[in-house]
Amino acid sequence: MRIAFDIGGTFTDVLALGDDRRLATAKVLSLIDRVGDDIVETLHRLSPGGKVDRFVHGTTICSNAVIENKVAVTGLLTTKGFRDVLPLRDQRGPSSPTVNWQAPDPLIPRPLCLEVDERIRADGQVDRMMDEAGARAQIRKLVDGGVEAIAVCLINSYLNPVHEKRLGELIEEEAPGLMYCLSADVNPEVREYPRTSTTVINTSLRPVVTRYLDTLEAKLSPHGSDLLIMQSNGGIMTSDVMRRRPMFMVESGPAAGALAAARFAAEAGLKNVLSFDMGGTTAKACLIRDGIPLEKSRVSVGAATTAGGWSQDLGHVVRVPSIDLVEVGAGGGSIAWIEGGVLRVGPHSAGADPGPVCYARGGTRPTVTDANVVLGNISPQVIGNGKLRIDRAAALEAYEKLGKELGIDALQAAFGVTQVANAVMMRALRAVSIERGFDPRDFVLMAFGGAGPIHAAALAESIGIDKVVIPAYPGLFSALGLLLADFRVDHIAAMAKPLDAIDGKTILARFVGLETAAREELDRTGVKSANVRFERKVDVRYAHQLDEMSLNLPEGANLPQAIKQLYVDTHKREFGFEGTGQAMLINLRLRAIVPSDPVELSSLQEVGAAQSDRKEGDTRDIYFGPQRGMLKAKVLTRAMITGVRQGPAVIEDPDTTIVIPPGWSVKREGPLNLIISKD
Amino acid sequence: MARAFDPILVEVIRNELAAVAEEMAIATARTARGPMAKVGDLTTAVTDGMGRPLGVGEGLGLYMFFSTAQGLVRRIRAKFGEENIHPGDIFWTNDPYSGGGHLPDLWLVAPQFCDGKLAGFALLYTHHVDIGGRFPGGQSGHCSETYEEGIRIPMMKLVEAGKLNESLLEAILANVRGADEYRGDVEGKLTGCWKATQGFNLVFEKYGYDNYMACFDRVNDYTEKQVRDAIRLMPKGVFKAELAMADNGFGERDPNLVLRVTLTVKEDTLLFDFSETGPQARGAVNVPVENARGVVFSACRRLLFNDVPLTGGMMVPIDIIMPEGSLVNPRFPGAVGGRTVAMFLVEDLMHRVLAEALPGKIPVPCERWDLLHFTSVKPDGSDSVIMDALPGGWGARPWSDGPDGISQSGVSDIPVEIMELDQTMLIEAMQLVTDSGGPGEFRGSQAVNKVVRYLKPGRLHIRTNRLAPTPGLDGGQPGMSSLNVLEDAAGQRKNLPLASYLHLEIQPGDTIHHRVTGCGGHGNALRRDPGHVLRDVRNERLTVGAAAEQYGVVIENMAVNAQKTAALRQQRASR
Repeated sequence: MRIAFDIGGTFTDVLALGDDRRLATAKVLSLIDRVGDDIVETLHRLSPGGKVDRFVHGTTICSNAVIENKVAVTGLLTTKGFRDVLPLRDQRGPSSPTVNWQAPDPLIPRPLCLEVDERIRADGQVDRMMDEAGARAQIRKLVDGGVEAIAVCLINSYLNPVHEKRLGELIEEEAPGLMYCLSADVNPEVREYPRTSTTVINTSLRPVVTRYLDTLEAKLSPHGSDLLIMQSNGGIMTSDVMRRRPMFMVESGPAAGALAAARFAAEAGLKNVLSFDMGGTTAKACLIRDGIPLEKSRVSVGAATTAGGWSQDLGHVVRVPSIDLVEVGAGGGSIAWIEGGVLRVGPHSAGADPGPVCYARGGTRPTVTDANVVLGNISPQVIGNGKLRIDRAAALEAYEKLGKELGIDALQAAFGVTQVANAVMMRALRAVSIERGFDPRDFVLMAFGGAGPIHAAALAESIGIDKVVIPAYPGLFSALGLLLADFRVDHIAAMAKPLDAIDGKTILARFVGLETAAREELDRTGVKSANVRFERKVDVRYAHQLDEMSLNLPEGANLPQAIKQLYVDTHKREFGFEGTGQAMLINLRLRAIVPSDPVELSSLQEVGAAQSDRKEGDTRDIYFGPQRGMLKAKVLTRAMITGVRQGPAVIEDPDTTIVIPPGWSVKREGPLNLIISKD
Repeated sequence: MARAFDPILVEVIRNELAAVAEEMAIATARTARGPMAKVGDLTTAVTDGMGRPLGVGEGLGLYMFFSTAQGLVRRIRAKFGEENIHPGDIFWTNDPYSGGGHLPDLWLVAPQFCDGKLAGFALLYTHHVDIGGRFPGGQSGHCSETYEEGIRIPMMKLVEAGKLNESLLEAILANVRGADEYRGDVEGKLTGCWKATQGFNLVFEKYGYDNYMACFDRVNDYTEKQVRDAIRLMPKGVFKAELAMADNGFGERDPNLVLRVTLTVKEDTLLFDFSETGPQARGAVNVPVENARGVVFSACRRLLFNDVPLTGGMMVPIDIIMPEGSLVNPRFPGAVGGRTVAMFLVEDLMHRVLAEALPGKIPVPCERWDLLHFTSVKPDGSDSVIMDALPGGWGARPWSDGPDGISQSGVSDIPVEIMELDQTMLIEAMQLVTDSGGPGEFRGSQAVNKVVRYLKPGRLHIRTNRLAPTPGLDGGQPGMSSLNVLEDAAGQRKNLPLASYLHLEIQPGDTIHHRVTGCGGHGNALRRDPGHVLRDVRNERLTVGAAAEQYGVVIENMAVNAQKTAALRQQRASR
């Protein structure tokens, strides 16, 4: 049996997948201190006496620790002159500054950021030897300051790590057993602030993650063997690797949903997919091609929103390969308000407490969910397998009030809120497609999360997509992703040279070196490397450009020339021109992937699937906007979809509702998946 | 399908147009090759066919957004006539006297068409690293006529019906240093225009001309109404402020060079009258009028109307008088390349006059950025031009400290490890300076110290905005002042002259120590919460000595001695 558990802000989703491919599900409140106990209890409930051969875990513990500045007390050693690299960052402020803006507090206070006299030049040569006596004194000062770990990041060490390595030895001599990380090991890439930030985050999370995983494994190990962790890149890895490199799990939670979408797309043979995950407070979009989600090479932990170019750098930067998710502040709980006579939605959310007005738990401000109740998209009586009562009258009253301020009735106001929310969410879909050089109209929209399937068809319509897929288990999709992931480790090597000045043999030899290191690491941690598949990527940019483009290593007798050609072509597709000038090879990246036992989504069967009392012929009134008006829509369940059904209709799932507007139809594909298409 | 206008569609279209402006900025920044485009010295805007701006992109944004976008469109329409503007055309200009800023800021403007009608414009500029002329960078103060400053491109078509005028581009490239980067930046902007047209077309297809225009009308109207409503709540009256320029661009003091503004707050309009501002300077520190107006509008937006939608409607209730021949509206061919110091001072002036009108509500101005512009030769013999912008931090707010060392805009520095790749310099330090923030109940940001050792001979141009430190507000004190020190290879140090613009011939081994000023504090420093003083001491931003000296707070063994503090503060207050 495999157990997956995905810890979210409010709830933890638990899935138990039996050897017979039967799937049992549970939701428990997220209480970090008792995660292990809760999982064990759930395990007993779902499958008494069952033997677990794999636990897979998605968690926000790392991002929370960084955002709340609850990392371990850590010291930083920098090159002389650079102790303020953390607060100075890249000095970029918010691009539309409000006078109230506050800078994020650095993860390490200034007294624990100390300097070492040494210097490496940009050509890798030593400019100034390291003052070892001074370095030892600084290490002792950090130890006296009570640090649990030390991060080391020296200028230009990505080109020559000799002084960092020596500092590592000195730490071992001065403070035997103290945890430390060298930036040349953690993230050997150019640019001092992101490298320092990445190294600091990894170092300061190590004690936190070690304690967390120790506690968790102590609870879980009597019931099975392995604990595997979801990483930001959508792959899983053993807990002992994560103890050393926790930076790889900062986006552990959100990655799983996109990974599930990717696996689903691959299984269904969908080439181009935009995944759309809408929850209570945010919506996330991701672009998937040929079953593989796009990746980015850095994330900003704690940045307010990740749509748009510059603002994303205002969190704490971590440079690790991560699934390229774009998140915007619009979800079911997002609050509608009026500014300058015009309707706005979010980014404030009613959250789970007090929640939307219609939950009747004390919420008074109209939310997107309330709008969907008023419009009839969501059942006016009960949702969630009959567990949650809906107070439509209260939602209606809230919208009457809002409508009065706008001079329109409640229905128009509610419809308006869904439209504005859709416009905000479009920003996320546009960012992952148009901004990255893809035309969204070439894509299928895959929607999940509690609120995604309600908005999916309307969103698709406004961005020009005519096919929407709603997978099985849309509300548990992220947890499902945990069961589907492969093992993965990433390694990087810096080149930082013009392509014309490198020969192909050097590139291949560096890749072989990276592969050897990856294989050894996998073997050491007990993941069998026999089935390993390597993917080789190269980061290229024109000299003096801002960002690298990450490309699959092409083949060719003249490798540098082949890389250059691929780069020129890709640049042209994405930016409309070929560009002139020198192409630089900045980094080599290696992904080592070991497939885990494949699970076919279509083979899953849910244990105790909800029984609905819906019957053929049930209808309810749904308002589809001023042009289409109020229409009688069929109310269906997934099981009732045989053949093609025309909209208007809604399909009630245990954890979401799927809206089929007029002019669209729905059919079932495989046992449980739904395809909604424009007629 | 024509849709009835409604307040919801307005928000939907507004969101999409804002996304267009943003996508344009991102595409440009990612593909451009000059350093300034990458660090964020760029702006994008989208307007309707008459030039009313609506969406604004990233980067410097507000400065250039408001009046410049409108002014450029007005000039295009006047010069070419609507009948000569066609799909696939892209205009360009860098002319301070055609609505631009200084010569390095090059604008591209792409008209947009819906059903054959001229329906909008996408505009963007980036700051190019050079534009020819006497001084590398084209932004020295040491020029009197704009002819000396580089090549001036009047408003003309760079692309006509989709065809790039290569001859024109070649003529410009023959006149600039670092032609390859210049071309790269132009290509980056063409990419931005290309993206913008894709985005505009999506909007036109989906919503049609009428809905699109209704959006502009409605958004502009309600922005204007919001602004008028906000002005009604302001105290009525006449308020004045003045600030003297440090020098005339050549490093010479001139008592006539004073920026003066009179603000009249009327029923629902504001008048900013610069009639008493000093005359045009001999050096290149004059602010082209659209830049000067842009600073007034952006300061109003940031300080007074931060919550209203970002549209041209905000400009309507704000009147500005800037007489021709003055520092803020120079007469042709007055030089303007070094207008940046004066532009920042106009912004400072706006803070001070608004603080007169709204005491206790206006933050102390931030420090924008100084400049170290180094032209040299790489070890492989090719040109190296490094334009290092050095941002300062934020002034204190009436409710909290100013953030340290982070710019109050989308402008960043260039990473040390990127700058060093040309192997013409080595950065020895970049640090916050202890005890340097302007004392106040709320502290201004700390000064930033950068130390650069040059490895190759070359020409260095240093711009220092603040020769005198920035005063605080409401009794807050100035931060530590700027300073330039030259240390030669033998370790001999000398202070460089106090001048806004310095030009030096650099020898290998020369080291420059440049300090970007700290910002002013807000309120009386003796009222600062001793706990906050202690926090600064713990974080090593303040020494124990300065805690007593600047704040009257006595700290012993990392704790506040309340009794001694009360006594010291009382003694200080009576002094």
